[in-house]
Amino acid sequence: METLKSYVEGNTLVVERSFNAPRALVFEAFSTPAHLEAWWGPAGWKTEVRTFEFEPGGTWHYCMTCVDKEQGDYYGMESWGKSTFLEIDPHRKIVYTDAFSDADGHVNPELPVMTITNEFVDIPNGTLFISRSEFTDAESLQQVVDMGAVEGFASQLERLDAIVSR
Amino acid sequence: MEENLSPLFHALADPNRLRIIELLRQEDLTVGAIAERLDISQPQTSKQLRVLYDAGLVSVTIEANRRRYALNRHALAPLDVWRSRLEAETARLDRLEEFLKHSKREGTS
Repeated sequence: METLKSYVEGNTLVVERSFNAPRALVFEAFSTPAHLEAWWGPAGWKTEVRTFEFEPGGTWHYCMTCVDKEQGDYYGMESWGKSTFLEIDPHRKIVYTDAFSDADGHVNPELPVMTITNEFVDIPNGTLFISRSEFTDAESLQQVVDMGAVEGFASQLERLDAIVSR
Repeated sequence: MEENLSPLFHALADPNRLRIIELLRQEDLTVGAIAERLDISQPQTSKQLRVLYDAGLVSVTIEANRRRYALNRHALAPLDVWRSRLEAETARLDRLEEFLKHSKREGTS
């Protein structure tokens, strides 16, 4: 049940994954703050949900804090995110924007905003989850690189090879 | 910057083209020099360079009848973002999977 498929369509990254769990449960993992806090943040990071208004136009404001001393410079770092829900079809679909923000919930206008569309589909013995991450324009991709949010290309060719040949 | 990333991914989905990029990361090179280092024919090398050129990954200057190729590092930026995003997403879904297993156990016990 761990099928993972990923591909790029234009400016959209699509990731598909099947889970051996009922659709309602997978959906709840995305729509219940306590559940999100349990799995959302990266390993070694604690996620705290500040606001969670699960309705179209509602906001989801959260903070991820690095609590792992092994992560060196990242230890103690806070990363705030703010999302706005655009569309909710219970147990089927969630569309939201994903932006960088500060602790007060002010979205940083300098940084790109992504639109995420998550779909939940019944399959035999479980749920197919399809996530589409769309950048508004190619320029914003460059901004993400310039701000140092991702590693440089330098030593990544092997991994890249693995990605493109998937 | 290229709006549609598919040509970029296509251009990179070939071992020889990845090797060419690896070489050009270190220095600008002529077709002949690339062919020699990869131990493939010049026409074959030119063909691969053409694909990289069309995808905006390399630029070319002509000096005394020789074509010298350089890597457009800028063109690789989207790939960094996508790769990083894909890795983050994959790790996140791994955690979700663990969470779902745990939730089901609790739900059924």
